[in-house]
Amino acid sequence: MKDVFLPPQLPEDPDRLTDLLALVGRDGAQALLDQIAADLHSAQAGLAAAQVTGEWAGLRDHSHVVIAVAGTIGATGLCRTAREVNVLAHARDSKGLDAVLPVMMDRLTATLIWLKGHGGAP
Amino acid sequence: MNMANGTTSDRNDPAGAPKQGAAPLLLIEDTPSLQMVYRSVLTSAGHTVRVAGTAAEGLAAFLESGATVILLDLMLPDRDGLDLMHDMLQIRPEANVIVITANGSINKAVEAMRAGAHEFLVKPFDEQRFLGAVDNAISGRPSPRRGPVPTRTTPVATTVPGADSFIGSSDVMARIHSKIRSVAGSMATVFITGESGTGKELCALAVHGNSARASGPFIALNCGAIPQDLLESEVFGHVKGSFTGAISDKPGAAAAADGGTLFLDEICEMAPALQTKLLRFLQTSTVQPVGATRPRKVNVRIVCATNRDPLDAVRRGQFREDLYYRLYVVPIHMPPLRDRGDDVVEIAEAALLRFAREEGREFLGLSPEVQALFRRLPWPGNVRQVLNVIRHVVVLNDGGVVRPSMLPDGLTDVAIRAPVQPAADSSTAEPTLDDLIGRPLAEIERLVIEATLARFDGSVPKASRVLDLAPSTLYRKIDGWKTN
Repeated sequence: MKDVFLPPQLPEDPDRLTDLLALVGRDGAQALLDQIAADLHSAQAGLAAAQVTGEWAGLRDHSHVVIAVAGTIGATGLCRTAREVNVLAHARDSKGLDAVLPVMMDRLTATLIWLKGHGGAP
Repeated sequence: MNMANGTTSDRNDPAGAPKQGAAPLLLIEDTPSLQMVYRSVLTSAGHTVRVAGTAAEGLAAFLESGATVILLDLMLPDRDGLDLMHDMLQIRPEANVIVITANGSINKAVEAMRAGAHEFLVKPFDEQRFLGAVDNAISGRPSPRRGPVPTRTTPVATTVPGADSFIGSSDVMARIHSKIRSVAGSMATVFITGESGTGKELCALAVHGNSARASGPFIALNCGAIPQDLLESEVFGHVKGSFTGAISDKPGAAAAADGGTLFLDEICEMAPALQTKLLRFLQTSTVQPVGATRPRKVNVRIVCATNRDPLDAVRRGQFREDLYYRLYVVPIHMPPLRDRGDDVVEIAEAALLRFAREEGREFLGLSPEVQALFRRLPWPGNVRQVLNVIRHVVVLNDGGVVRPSMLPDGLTDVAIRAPVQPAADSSTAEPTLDDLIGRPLAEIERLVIEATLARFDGSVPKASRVLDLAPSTLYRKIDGWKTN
């Protein structure tokens, strides 16, 4: 395995991603990184669109994906804020979302930048 | 690695060689990266996996592959996962479905378990928990197709996955476990009573899960939550065109529970006309859907529950006496949390651990002050209220030891009002019958209402339900006392 599996700050729990990449093997590691990046990128686009249109279902569904993927790769901070977004979207809490969604989007962007820097491209 | 949907994959190295004779696992998950991760974990453990990305693909793969263990994401792009699970269990009742969601909540878990799920996983989860759930699903409940259902053996403990109500080492809960073990193996009807939030549904699940019918369906129906005009159709089904809106045949809960257990919650809320039909069903073991010309024989075990006194409902003419005696075969009373000693601390600690894991937080436990407070609180909402308090703590705090300042506002006030030892404090004790004799009826009524309100922490809706009064009537009486 290359040092691609030893991220500097992201994800916060790097062992989870390292273990996953080891599990899929050298041949599958790049494909998995690419797919993780693609799924998070898709969720990012979906969240941005749902934010503009005020579509609660979109906010719920896309934050659901972020929770699952971020948690799986050990991006615990992103996972936690995505969960907060999901709860707020279920509660249709516009004010709360205004505060939390930008934080989550920033973390999502940072995670995508990190993934791109380490070979994961959407 | 094959990433396409609808493919079968397994690992070729000897350590992870596919398990001989094992049925394929069906993974229904719409997020491609998670598909890859879950499939890799499963194939590394030696499982053969069939993958689908939508509900439609999943149902097709389910029909084609004969899978009996299914990992099902509840959030699918084309259909609700619970609906899909319902269909799969109708088609193949012996299937064990592990439902997966990121929206972790006890309500969702109970909903899935009530609908027949084998287990419930909340994303993200670790590999060990994931594989443990799969192994349990494969070996825990033998499929009828793998051989006859084995003779039932007495289990060591009655367990329900994720069931906090069943945590606790108090004597009263030990007796409940013992009773469930004794009754589970029989066909006897079980009548569960207890206040709201004491775990009546989970008790019913434990009766089912510890019985020889565990591999069959567990169908739960809340008689109080379904409009009375739809209840007959919900219980006994209907045929297409039998009434406006009957656009297709519907089997009904009684038929869906064939070979398993039918749980009728809030049984005392059932309309008298339907009580007659339920009695006939119990006497004949046949169901006749609305609009059907002939009845159908089914093999169903009945478990029912209520938070009311069923005999009192009989006395008031709200519940048929003959139905009462038909159902009230083995009564189980779920005790209120305030009568369960230190169980409240055990339940709270277990919930803290579980919710912290779900929310990605690190909590170290309850401080001695919080433990003492929890023992003093009356907990009118019982286990459900404890779970809500702990969920509140986990969501709104980062971690560490749970201190009184982390608890919801108002909870400590209730503790201040609550007596340390209610039974020993005569000034706050509820009146006995001897205390009431010799007093005017209006005064007795007021004493009983006030005691009931105190029991439910001042909640008029809850008190009015127990007293079988309209809340407006209760408000009027309280206002009248204030005026006088």
